[in-house]
Amino acid sequence: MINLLRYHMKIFFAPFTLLIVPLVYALNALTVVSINQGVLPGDLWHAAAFPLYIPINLKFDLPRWFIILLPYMMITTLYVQNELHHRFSLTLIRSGNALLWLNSMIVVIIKLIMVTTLAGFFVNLFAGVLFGDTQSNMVQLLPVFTDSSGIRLMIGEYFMMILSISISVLLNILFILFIGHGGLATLTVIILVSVSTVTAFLIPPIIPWLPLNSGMAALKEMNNFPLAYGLISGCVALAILVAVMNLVFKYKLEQILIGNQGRGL
Amino acid sequence: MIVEMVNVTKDMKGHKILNGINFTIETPGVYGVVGRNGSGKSVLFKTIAGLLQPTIGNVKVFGELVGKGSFPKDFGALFDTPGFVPRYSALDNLKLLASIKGVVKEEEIREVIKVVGLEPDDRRPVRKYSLGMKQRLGIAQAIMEHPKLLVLDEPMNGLDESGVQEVRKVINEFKSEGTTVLLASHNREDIELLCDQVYLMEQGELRVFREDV
Repeated sequence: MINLLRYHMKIFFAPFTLLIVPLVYALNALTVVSINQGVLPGDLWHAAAFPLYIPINLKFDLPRWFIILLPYMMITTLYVQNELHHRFSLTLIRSGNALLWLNSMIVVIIKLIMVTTLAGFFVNLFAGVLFGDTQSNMVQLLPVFTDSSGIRLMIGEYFMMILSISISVLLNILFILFIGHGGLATLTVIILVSVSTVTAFLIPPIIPWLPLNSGMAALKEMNNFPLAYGLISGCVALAILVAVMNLVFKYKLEQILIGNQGRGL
Repeated sequence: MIVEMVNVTKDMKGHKILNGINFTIETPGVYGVVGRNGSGKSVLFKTIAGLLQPTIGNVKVFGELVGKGSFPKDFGALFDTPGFVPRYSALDNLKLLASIKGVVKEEEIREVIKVVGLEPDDRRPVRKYSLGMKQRLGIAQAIMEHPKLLVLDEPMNGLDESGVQEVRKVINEFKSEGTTVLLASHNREDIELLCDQVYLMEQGELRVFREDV
């Protein structure tokens, strides 16, 4: 298992992978600054948390959420497709266990999400230093900004984002295993996230039980559900998803091998 | 027994690709499998590798059942032209693959790269390699862990004349070291020069085509 973890990590943790996510966070922060008269409201921590307040406005904030989500999905889609199409039989023969290969990849993906999201949060902190403005009247408009500490907001948001991003990314991989097409799989996840978000707006009481939306801080804070709810539903969803992925992978394994390497059978 | 296939049938999409194959290899040597495209050679090799599961029958390699997620030990294989990490050099790609098993050292990997006619210190990424160079690297990954059973499915694909000569030399060296090599090739000369015994794969059935041993 350790050798396989190292194998996946060596390929995943490439300069491009480590840079693209923080760059997208920077893009998101700059977008928010530009629509808020050049400032991020609140002290350093609140200002840093502010660009992650998604989605207050569905039309504008949902695409912003997708901009954050897409690099994670793009990186993992490319990885899974390359591995399955080109290197799978080589690694499988050496690892000796297909499920070990899958589960070690899942562990590395979650680790990658944690590391790159942390880097993204540092970008937000930097944006908070540059653009934070305690005098901004926006602070008064968001009760959660006056009621909660900025550090608590950031920590809560970090864990919730990791969970909902992990669920989206693993769901994307599950659809790749089913459909065999990365683009279609990503499109399906985008549709699911959109449906989940619209459902959250229509039926607010079920928001804590919509793990795909957990990372959307505004929904959580505006509806005032405790962090623990989101963490529990997120962890349960993640565990179910991993179990389903194991089943599907085992069931589709031969098809994957034939589909990818079956030229000249 | 090195390889033992008992009554192996493989159905795919309603077609019998392997049809009741009984095949054993008891002594090391080079065993060739010839047959037309689509005759089932690759399926046969992948079934021995544990990558495909027989519909009926079972496969044992070195006395252990393979398939259903278990793979032969002491085994190396080349199927088609394998894909490598495009941004990595040849050495880095092989080091990465070798890290999964962790049984070979860098010096041995360097040696294997030289054996197949590539340069271990060539830092060019593999994406800049020609098809023939990728094929050489594919052979290097198959042999680098010094397997006791080596399965090579069309190893000469994309190789120039010097590449073909080098691969023939590699196969003969492995044979002299007591490795069992299973070789599928369209090239009659390869089969004649290298194989101790040749089988013909036809309509999912395997029969002895030429026996020299």
